[in-house]
Amino acid sequence: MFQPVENTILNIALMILSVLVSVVFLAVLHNVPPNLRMRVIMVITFIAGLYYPLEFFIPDGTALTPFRNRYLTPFLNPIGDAVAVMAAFTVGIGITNLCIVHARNISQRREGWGNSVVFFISMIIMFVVTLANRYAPNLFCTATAENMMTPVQAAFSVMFEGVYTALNATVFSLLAFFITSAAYRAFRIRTAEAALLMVGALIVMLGQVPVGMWLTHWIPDESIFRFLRFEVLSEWLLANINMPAQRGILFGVWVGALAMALRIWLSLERGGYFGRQF
Amino acid sequence: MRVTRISDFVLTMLSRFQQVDRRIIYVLVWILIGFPIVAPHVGIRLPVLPMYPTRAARSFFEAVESVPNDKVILVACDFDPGTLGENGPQCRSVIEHIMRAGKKFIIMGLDQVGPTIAQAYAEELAKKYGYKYGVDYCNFGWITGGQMFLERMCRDLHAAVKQDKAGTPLSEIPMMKNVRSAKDIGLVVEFTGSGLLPLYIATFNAQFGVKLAQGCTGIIGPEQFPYLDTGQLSGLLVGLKGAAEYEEMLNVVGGGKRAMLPQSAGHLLIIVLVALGNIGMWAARKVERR
Amino acid sequence: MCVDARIVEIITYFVAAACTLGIYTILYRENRLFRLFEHIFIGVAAGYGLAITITEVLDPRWFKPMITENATIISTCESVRGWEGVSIDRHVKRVGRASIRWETDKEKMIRYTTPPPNWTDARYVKLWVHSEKQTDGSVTMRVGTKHKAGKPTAWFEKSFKIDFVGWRQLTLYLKDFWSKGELDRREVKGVYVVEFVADDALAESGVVLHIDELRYCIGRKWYWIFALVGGMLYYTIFMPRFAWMSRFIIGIFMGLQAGYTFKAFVLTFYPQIAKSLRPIYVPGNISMTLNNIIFIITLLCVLVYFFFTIEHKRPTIRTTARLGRLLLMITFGLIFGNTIMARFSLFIKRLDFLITQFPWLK
Repeated sequence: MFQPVENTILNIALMILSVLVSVVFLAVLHNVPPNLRMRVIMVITFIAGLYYPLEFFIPDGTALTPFRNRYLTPFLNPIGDAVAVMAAFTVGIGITNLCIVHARNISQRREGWGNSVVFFISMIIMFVVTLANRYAPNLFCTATAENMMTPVQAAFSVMFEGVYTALNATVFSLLAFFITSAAYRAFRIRTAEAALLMVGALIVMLGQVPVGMWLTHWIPDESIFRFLRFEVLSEWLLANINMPAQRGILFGVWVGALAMALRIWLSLERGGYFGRQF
Repeated sequence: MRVTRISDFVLTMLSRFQQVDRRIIYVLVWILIGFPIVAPHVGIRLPVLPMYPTRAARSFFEAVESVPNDKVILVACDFDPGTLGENGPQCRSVIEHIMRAGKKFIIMGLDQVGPTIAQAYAEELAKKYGYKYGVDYCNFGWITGGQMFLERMCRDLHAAVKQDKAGTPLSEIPMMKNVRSAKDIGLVVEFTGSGLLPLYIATFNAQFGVKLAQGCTGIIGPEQFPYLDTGQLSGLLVGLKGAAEYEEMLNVVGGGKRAMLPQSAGHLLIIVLVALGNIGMWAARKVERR
Repeated sequence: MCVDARIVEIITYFVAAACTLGIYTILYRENRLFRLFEHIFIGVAAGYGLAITITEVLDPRWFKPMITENATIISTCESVRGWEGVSIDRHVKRVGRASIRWETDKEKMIRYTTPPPNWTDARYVKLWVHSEKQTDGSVTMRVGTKHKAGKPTAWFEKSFKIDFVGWRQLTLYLKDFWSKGELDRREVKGVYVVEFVADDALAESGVVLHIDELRYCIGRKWYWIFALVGGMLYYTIFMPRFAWMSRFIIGIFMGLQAGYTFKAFVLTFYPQIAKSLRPIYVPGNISMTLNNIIFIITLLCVLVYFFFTIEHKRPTIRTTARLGRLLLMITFGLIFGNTIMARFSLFIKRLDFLITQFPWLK
């Protein structure tokens, strides 16, 4: 049934028909009681969650599963494609929300509404420039030499490297100041745990930089005290204390993720988004 | 009396130091980080301090070297400008190594911006090593869909990705003629500041046996060590130091190595400030008791 | 109208420097300049995200497969590379700059030896053919496949008549091809040659044929419209009356992801469990023995610390949990040290950019 077609008109007709069928289906669902609707959603969530475990766990062509023979594996590709495309549609949700918030700021003339205008202007400029750079880089002229750029390429370079990359990197770099200030004001060694934390941090901080390596470089490489070199001690701590501790945390995380996955798959999860009635 | 007054004075100053305006600390950060960067440009020679690559960085290096010539390397740039400070130099030095070793590579990313940044590095280095786009390297751009789509890619690259970042169909890219699936990929190197490694482990490594190596930010570095221990990860570069280690092995001076002196200054500043803060706390207690 | 790249580089630097310093004004105190740049950042990020979503995901992976024929070029026929028995003609062409010229009286068979090997999902082949005169003859198109090394070639072929004059676009459905040899029709793989063979009538007529843009097509995937329907359901979250529809699509994705978690648990996590079983004593290697003991103690203590199902009242469990807590503190210290390094790295790169990328210093 779901086969590609050659004819353009047939293609468009089938697309329109598909949209109509979807609208009818959703309209029918919209008019059923909410409880029944939720049950339909629960069933669909369950079926969707069945696919990957069945495809992975059921072995092929055994005496118990003679029908299996990689029956589910061919669907991996279309599902992967569908997931990728529909994940792309979700990008618009955040942007839509941003636009609603800033549009409200402007319409109600809230404090700082000028910044909201700037938001829209910069969004539109970046959007247009990026699309133009992709689809029409030679819109105004064609760059004939290697050291020349078309106006569209130049605009994209300024907007992407000069504005977007610079702002993005700078906003995150502010954390260097905040962590310095926080470490100075808040890091007080009052307990044994805090002391251990600070010792570990000290060893790693010195082991990660050349100054720390220089401080202990006089310890000979072949001696039994080699482990006292900051970089060696730091590496040892990371591999022999940090690693098992992280693995212990990972055990808990994965078991928790498994439990959460089971609850979501069986629609048992409650609270927050899941508990809301639509 | 005088000794008591001086000791009182010192204790009082130390305890008051805890309330110093944070802007003074910011200025200290600017000066201490800025000085090693400005110094070479004003003729001040700074000492060259030792750098010893870790075992994880050496494993990364060997993993790239050992990729067979008939296979390509997948460079997954899952970082954005927010972590450019660490992932950028890592990515650049690894791409330089790949070009120096004469291997072909594909750039892609689960982040929107990473592949664009890596493309700029590749184009710059391609002039030095004579690499040609489409023949020696190409760029798939941003890939959505998480591990479900990565699994799709592993099975059939051409059908999954279809075209490169510039819109050229993969069938028209010369290097992609013999690269059809994960079987033709010798190594996946991932650069990221978020916990995306399990996605690649569950797909490329566990199902198709492709080796993985990762360049990550310092924050998530310690979390990757369990994967290094099991062999799911063949090499690891942690933070800017990882980039500096890689440059040391390549014998080049890049963003990583240049940043080591400022990094040292920053770390020393933190250690001194934390020490002063704790001494100040102790001094404040003493002053209170008096 | 083109601009010098060097000038663009200089402009880019000053724009980036202005943006960087504008953000850094927050370090002095809250101010309007910082708010302005903050909003520019959000706007530019939103605009870029939307544009890149369209250009790199929606356009190539959704829109084009839905609207176009999903053609893969077998040969553009712009050069003779890969062709045998033909020449290039830059005067008689249909698409592009040239076409393949075939003199049927001189060469009864022509071959193209570098087609794409994998014709997965291909449903039909399309090509432009030009004939200078009507004939009674026909051409057979033959596709040779060798799926596995050492296996004999399997062929599938189709004939078409040359009973027209001028250019004609032919559509040859693969299901109408007849096959010789072992061929898997579901997946056409290992294609290594495409041949065109003129029959005797055509060869005797001496007609000169031109071939242009040879490609195989999958067809227009109309069913991708369901992805639009599904994608639009997300946006119903903004309409309280229809918000349940967003639950519908989110439910599907959560179900898929939850299902995948079971698979990922086995693939990612099982090796972690396996590698945790280490020998307490390694003969001849004292350092590995010590490391293994420390490893096991650390892992067990941390696991006991996180085990909340039983109370930590008994001395054994309490002590083990306390030791686990202390070991975790060392780990957090290591993470803190790495975090310091990470944060400073970001600022170092910005300062490095501001100073070393200054145009007249570079």
